[in-house]
Amino acid sequence: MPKTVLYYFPAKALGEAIRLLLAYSGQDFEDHRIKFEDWGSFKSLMPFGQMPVLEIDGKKYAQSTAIARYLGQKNGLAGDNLEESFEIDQNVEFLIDIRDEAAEVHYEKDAKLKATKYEDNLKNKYPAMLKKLDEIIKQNKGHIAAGKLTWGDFVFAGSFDYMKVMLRMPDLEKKYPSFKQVIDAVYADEKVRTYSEKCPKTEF
Amino acid sequence: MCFRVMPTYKLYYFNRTAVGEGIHLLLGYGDQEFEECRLKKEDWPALKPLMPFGQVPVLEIDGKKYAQSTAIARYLGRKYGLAGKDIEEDFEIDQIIEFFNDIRNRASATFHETDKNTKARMQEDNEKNHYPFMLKRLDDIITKNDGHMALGKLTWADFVFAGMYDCLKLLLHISDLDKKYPSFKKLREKVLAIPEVKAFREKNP
Repeated sequence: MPKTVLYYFPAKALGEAIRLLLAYSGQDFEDHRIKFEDWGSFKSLMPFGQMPVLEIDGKKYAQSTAIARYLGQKNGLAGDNLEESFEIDQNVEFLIDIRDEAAEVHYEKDAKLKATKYEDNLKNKYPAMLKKLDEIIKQNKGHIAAGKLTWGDFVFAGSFDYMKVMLRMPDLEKKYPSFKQVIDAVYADEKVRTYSEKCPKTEF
Repeated sequence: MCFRVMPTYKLYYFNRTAVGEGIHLLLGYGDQEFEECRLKKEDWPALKPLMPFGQVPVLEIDGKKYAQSTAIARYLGRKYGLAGKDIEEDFEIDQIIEFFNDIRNRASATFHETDKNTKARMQEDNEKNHYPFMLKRLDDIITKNDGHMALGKLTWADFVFAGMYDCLKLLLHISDLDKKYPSFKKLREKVLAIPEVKAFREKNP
């Protein structure tokens, strides 16, 4: 069995999708959570000075979406053909657009600007984007793409709590029940459930 | 008798020099006949609801719409033999593209910031804390890959880079980018010099 280590902060955010995919794959892995205060000494060891990084038998894989797609392809979760693979890529790219919009506000340091940006997004961006995402999931029978479980579902489920915090919408899945369908689809897998029962719990 | 009907390709985009250009160059490389639907601002409100995510670029093939620029580029890359030969190689392309998009998104957010003071602050922070590391990393990777984005050979990632390069320079607001990182301009020129791409650009100025 290859030695597999996932390096990430003690958070779900961008790392959890990978943990869930690893669990789904049945691959034993070391869930190496690096505290923020210790990060400095690890940073230079990472290919792009960032995490998450997946290390398999000493080879490092960086960039969270690329890693998720890689694990998706390895585990039959990347569509059956070029068209389906594309659809997953497309819909995940859109999902990340939403995440990036929310992150731009969330990580804004200037308090006044942060408030203005949030109000603007809340009024002009989030409603249409979330409605679109809801439509996509409904069209795909409770999945992100291709009408079935794919790595896109894992990206969604893994970063959902992070999204809720950044969007400031703690009851997001109540407003859009389709979102919960995607999460349920991922956690329907027994190995994923076992992992999530045992793993450290974090807010996002 | 059976006739194979060639699919109709249409590319919808605003202007060539941003995220649509990589796709443009890929279609050129693939020697794909396509209709260019270059949208004017006044056309957009009517067309926006017809696009899958209310955005462009969108590539329409036989009436089916493909959206999201990186997803489209990867799709065409796979169609034209510009992807990896296996999952490991595909990953390496995806990894560098994601990093490149990080740089692009950071620069774009700064460039599009409307508040002058905030924009100046962001640019200063980028120039001090982010661009040096990120651009050097990109430069090292391209150099290590024989003047390519990944795998030491031509992939769809090179087309994304080449298509975006002029726009990136503008967004980064680094006037001597070509001098600082010669590998960047070389990569763009390398892609543009590919015979199929060169011929395509001569026919479609």
